[in-house]
Amino acid sequence: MLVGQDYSEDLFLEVFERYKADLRAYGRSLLPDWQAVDEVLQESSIVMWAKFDQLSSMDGFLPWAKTILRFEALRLRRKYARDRHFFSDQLFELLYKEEAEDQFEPEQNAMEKCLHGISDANQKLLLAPYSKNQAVTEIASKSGRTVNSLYKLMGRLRLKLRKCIEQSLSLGFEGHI
Amino acid sequence: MNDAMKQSLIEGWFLGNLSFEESQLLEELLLQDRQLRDDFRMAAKVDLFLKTKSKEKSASSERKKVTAGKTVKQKRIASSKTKNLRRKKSGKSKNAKSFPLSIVFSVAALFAICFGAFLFTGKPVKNVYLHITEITNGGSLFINGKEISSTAFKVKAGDKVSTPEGVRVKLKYDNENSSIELYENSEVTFNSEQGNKSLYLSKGRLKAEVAAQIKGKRMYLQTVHSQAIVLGTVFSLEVNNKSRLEVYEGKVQFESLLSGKKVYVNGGYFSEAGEEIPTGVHPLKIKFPDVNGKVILYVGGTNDLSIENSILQRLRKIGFSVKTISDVDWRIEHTEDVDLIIISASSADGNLGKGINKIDVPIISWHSSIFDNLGLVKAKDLKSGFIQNKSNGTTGTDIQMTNSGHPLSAGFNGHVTLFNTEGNNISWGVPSHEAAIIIATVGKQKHPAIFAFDTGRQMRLRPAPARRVALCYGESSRYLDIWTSDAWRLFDVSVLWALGLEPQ
Repeated sequence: MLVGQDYSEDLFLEVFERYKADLRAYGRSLLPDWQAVDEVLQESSIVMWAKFDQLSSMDGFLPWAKTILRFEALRLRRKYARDRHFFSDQLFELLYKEEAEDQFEPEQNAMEKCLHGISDANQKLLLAPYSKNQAVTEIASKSGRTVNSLYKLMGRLRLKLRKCIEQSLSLGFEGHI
Repeated sequence: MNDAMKQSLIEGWFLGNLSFEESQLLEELLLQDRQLRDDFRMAAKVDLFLKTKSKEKSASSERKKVTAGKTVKQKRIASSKTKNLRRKKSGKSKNAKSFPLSIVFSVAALFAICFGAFLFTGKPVKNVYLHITEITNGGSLFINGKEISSTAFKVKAGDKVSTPEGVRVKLKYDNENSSIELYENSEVTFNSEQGNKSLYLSKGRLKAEVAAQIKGKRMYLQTVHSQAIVLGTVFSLEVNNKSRLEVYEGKVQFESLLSGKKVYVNGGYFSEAGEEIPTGVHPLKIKFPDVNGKVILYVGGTNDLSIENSILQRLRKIGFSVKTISDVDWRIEHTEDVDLIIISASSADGNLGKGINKIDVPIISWHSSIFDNLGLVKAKDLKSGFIQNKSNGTTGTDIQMTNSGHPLSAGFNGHVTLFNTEGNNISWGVPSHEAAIIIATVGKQKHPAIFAFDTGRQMRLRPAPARRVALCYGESSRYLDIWTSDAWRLFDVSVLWALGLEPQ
């Protein structure tokens, strides 16, 4: 049991902020897009806050929060499963279990360095899908390429970026692509 | 489906452009492949990073448009999210706690400028220190090119340590029982990031004993071909024209940086990485099944084979009954009730006579002059020989494995060093028929160095009456102390294969 409510609220905010990125990344591995992740994280945060008193130690916050997030993701899946493909319970379970074992945390500097190793034009392309103003279509029309070919290029760039990050993480080398 | 296609599916999932069927296929693949799931989770983290960067740029652009405070749009979003949360809270019991308002902004306000600052909690970088505990042979080592002969020095993160010929160095990490033994002619750079120890082995070999790392921390070792990730274990890593990890205790994740394939290597196993080397896991020691009652006839150049005693002892220790005979005393009748014949290079081909190619007992030999008598090669002197440094300048110590999937390759890929010193003969022969299985080649001309015929496969004049294995050890059986552990391993698997046995 945690101490009084005021302190508990501060504490909750603190730990939630600390682990928010982990929770978002975990949510993204379960769900097909960021909109679903945001929806589930918002629902989860409410459940977490409601049950925060039940948590006996802050060391256990992340696995506890992930469990809640997983249940909320399952609930969302039931809601939308007719319209689109969601992962099965079995894969949810595997990803949840292995997430707990996974201790490879990407480091911000490594990610930044690897991203900077990519040309400005390609960086812009990599960030375009997160923009809400049809950025990919715009780039396609300006460059004379099809949207489909740009998505293929994005896939390759993202893979290169991921490999660079993994390598950089291993030894703290300067990231470059 | 190759790895590139699988990775493409992963990125397609995060880009949101997979069809329903492709998503289902990705799920099937993820269910089957642990490594792919690791890649998938990493891709999720990268996706979060890119999303955050995009939002930062967007926020930065927004800041330029307004002079102070929130934009109308941001206020509207925050207001909407707040209402949404209040609505949810009101649906809960009376005892439900009030929800911290700042969560509204931190979770839901997607355009919050400060969002990225919370995403990755950086931890202070700690400097890593190692003590030099031993320098062998009273020699010196080099730290960042500076010669050091005392154990009083410490090695810190960023230091490059190298050893000259004949000198090994032992180093121990501060405050834990992890140690590194750097072999002669080796070079390693120590590093540290986020509390994780890391090493880059640019040359030579090291052996590491890694104590269990504190929770969440690992040790990373990298070579030009590979990366090994360790929690706590005992292993060695070697780099030359390929990288090789041998794990003695514990478990290490090993990745080929060329193919991207990752494997987990348990104690008692090894893995290799390099150009055109498939990353697999193989046992360090060949374990023989019960061979009690199996008889090997070992043919040498003299009755006193004490100089080749290492082979005889090894075979007897495994459980074989080993008879020896000199080439002079050799008769076909001696091969009755024998399971395997080994013909050493110390024997003289002229003494072994005709009929040897008709014996229906498996034969192993590394005496290339007798390969034609056995029907293994086409013609004496023209289609077999030796390669050594002095004759044509090629390296006489390495062979190139060409058939890594065959049991005779012992799981080796790429170059394998047979001898501890250079200048030794490596025998070779061009097989008498294309039915031969070629396991390894030697030299620039890629002469077949290890090859074999299975029972019934056509040789020069007739089908092989039993299995035949041509090894390439030349006259080295007189100098068995120069055989590497890899040479012994290849010898062991040839005995197993010739007898039709499988390792346990």
